[in-house]
Amino acid sequence: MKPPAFAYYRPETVQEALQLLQKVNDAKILAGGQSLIPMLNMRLARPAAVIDINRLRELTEIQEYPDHLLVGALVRHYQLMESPLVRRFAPVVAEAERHIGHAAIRTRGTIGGSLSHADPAAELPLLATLGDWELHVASATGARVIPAREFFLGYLMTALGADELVTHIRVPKATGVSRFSEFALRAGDFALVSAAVSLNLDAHQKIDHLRLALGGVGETPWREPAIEAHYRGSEASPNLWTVIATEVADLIDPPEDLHASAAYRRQLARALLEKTLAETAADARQTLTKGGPAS
Amino acid sequence: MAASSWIGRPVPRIEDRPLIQGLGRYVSDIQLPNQWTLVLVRSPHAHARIRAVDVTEAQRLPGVFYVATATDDEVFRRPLPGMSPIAPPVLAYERVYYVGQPVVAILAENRYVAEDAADLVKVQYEPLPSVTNVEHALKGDLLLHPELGSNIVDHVSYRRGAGHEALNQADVVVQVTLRMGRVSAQPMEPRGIAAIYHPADDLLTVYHATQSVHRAQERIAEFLGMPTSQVRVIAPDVGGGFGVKNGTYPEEALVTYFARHWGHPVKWTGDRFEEFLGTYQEREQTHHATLGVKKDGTIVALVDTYYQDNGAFPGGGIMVSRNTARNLMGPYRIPHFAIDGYTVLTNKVPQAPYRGAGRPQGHYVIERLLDRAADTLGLDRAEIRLRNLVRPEDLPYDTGIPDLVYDSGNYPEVFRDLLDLVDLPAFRREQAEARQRGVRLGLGLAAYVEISAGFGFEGARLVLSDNGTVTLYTGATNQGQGHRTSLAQILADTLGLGLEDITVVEGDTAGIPRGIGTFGSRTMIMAGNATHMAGERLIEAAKPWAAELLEAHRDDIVFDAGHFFVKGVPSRSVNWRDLTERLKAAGSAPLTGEEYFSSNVATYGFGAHAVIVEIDEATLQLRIQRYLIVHDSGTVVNPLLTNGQVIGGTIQGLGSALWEEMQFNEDGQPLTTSFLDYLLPAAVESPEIEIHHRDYRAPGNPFGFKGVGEAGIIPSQAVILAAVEDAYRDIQLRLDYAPVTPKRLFATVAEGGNRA
Repeated sequence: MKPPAFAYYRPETVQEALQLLQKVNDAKILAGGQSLIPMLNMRLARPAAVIDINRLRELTEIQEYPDHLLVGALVRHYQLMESPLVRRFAPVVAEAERHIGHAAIRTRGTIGGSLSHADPAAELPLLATLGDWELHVASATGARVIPAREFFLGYLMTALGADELVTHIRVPKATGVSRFSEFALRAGDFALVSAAVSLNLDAHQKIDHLRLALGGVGETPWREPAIEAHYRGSEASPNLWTVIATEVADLIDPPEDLHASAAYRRQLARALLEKTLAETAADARQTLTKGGPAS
Repeated sequence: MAASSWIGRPVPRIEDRPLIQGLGRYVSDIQLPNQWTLVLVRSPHAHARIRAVDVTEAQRLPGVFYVATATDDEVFRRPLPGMSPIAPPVLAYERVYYVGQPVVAILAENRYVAEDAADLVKVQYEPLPSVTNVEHALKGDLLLHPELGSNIVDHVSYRRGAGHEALNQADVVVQVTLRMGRVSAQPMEPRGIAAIYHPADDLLTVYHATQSVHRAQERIAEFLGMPTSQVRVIAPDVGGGFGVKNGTYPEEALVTYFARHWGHPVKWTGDRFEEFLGTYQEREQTHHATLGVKKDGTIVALVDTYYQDNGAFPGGGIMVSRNTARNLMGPYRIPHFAIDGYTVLTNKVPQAPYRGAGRPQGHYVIERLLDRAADTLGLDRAEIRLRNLVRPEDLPYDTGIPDLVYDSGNYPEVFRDLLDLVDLPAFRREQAEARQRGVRLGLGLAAYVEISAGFGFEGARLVLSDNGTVTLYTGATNQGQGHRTSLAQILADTLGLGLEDITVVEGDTAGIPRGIGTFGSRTMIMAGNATHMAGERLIEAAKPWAAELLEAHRDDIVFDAGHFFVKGVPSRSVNWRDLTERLKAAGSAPLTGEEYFSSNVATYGFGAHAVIVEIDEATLQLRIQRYLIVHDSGTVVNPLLTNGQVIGGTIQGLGSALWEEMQFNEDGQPLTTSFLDYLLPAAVESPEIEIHHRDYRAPGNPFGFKGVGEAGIIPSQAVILAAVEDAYRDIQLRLDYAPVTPKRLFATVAEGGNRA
């Protein structure tokens, strides 16, 4: 478990990092190293070069804008868990962070790393998909913005070009009430299935905003806006949650692996979605009775 | 026997302070001058012919000193010592028999270079059909080792009474096929070994993460053709063993051979990947078991034929299979039985003892059969146990297995105590209530006899130092058990010293000439009694000197609690410090005391576990709500360490009941070779465990010690499967496979609960 030799670069600025990405062939970005280092040590990844971006201080902040947060790609998991801005404007992120690995992993792992690695069972890709986050991506020749739902292309595959780096993530401030839940075999393991829901109810207990997303049930985080639209205007009720969860569970085509069959994953998806919908609705009702706007 | 002030006290471990400060010294911390690193190229095939091995490129890589294959030298084709009737060559020759078998050895300046070189080695394999389960192995169409004439490498057989025929006398006969998956011990420290040769003295010094320095010394001496006196084996701090650091392995032969051959220090420290591929595994067995009972639940006969999927070579697996047979009776009266156990060779890494070593396997079968029989009779699962437990009036109880005579305790009383602690009626009410909320609660019960020691010896050698302190050398080899504390407690009582006056040195063949080692829960029983005996001898050796100081005749000298005095005159005494002063002044050699305790009498601890599990109906998430143990430890030296052993064993047992399984595909490829896929229980998964002691002295050894290292793990798979079944009583769930993972539980429930 020792990596093969690789060239090592440690740029001090984003500009320098982007130039290296353009110049150096077959380079991998090292951020928190929670996926890359094991892959190197097991010789599953054999890049010619590693570009260590841990010195790019430009990417370490969480900034507030009127309708969104701009999160630097190097912000660590524990910061997302603890940040007052995240807790206030994207509380579901702080909630989900508790499920990511263990304290040591959360201390090193970063938001940019997790999204770029694109493990379909990971928490942040799921929330990015649910919350319509946007990835700010730069290269030596320019910059672009990629919506989360166009970013994840397949298992560990993204729309990121070989010379591109995720620099910031635009996280819209929550407009609905959101909840997250997952099922993992042990605390800190990758979830077999995870579910996230964002919901708003109007004064008549009818749904006026609904988003559903699932992790671990396909090559990328699952979301289907047509279904969300279909249930807009429906009256909130436990029965409705069962109907939605069942419909979604029948739609997905989850994978089979050592730890779960497709059928078991389907059941988990149904159970988690139903439970998360009910919890989110309870929160939404509470928000309604308090009379305040959802935050 | 001396007054007991230290034995029985919950003294915190003396060894903890350096260990938690990071001052532990493990094999990987040992840096020998200019040491070479050994790395192995291992077989990627379960079964293949080796067509050609090309090491030219690897050999040319800067930093590589030597690359060895089996064809280079006869020594690499020699069979490993200590494995019969068939042992693998040190490096695979012509054929490979399991994924992970060493094929090429590389010596390089460090592990990075060596792994680069390993990438450059080109081995041409011709894959052969493989045998990956016992059903296939038994067909005999593919013999792994044709010279054996069969894939069955061992058959153990026991009969009592009318054996199989006695089933005719039963009112009800339950028959079941029970399986256990493979597990891997995964000690925190992987295996490792380093060696340095001193040519001037023809002496080889070996640093070895081993459970037995003396057995390692014998194997190494045999393999290298050296006298044992010229091989010194030192076990530095060892980070867990659980049985798998006690056998013969290719790495041991290679490191010691290379160190001597090249006259250069050599070290191999296995990494986690190698711990999954190359370290022996355990548990995997299939039992075809039948239990005949009377209408009232009384056992008439047990018939069991089982097969152990042992992997490609014996490893240490034959002992596991044989020990399984000796544990099939559990704590129950079984008048007739017919047991046949077969050790079967397959294309997997071999089996060797892992904590329990047959004890969990045997108990799993009898406990599950009792549950099945109770369910069939409509009898409570607790009741059927009470009706069959060995009673006090049966003691000593001859089990019908040679040399197994249960000797102490009150099994029914201890089991009833457990039931009282559980409060069965209250639990049944709670269970019904929870069911209304979609939560399934289930209770599992299982009992066991922990059979420990019963063979061989262990020794203790004491040396009185110049400052009045005593150093204790023993062949027992600590891997985390806390012997530096517990053996010191025993000696402190014998010699009337404080713990600070005693230093325990384990794991060095230079410290004591003979030893057996630490495994099978034997150290307190063997080394503990030997320690006391050696102490008595030291006292005798000291008496002439005390007599001289007290100006009396040695026969009149009495020793009590650290003081020597003339019989009847305790007011004038001398202590150990006075004696050392006198010895120094006289220019005398230090006083020593050396004794060996030998015994062929096993110890028999009894206990019972109860577990209450809570299962979410929708997700099948299982949570342990309560875990109760009533346990007989015999004489307890240190309650902290005893409970630590019981808790540790129980948690490991939960691993093999709920998560841990080495899975292989149909070609014999292991699929669970990292901690991502092989799931050990961690802190969050570990429940609170209530331990209640009911300690009965063992009559078979002077101090009354019993083994405690395996108690926790023995009933774990049985008790968890029982609890999960109980949670699904309404659909008559039947679980015949351990571990019961959520995936497996989902499938069984989905199929109506009765999948075999």
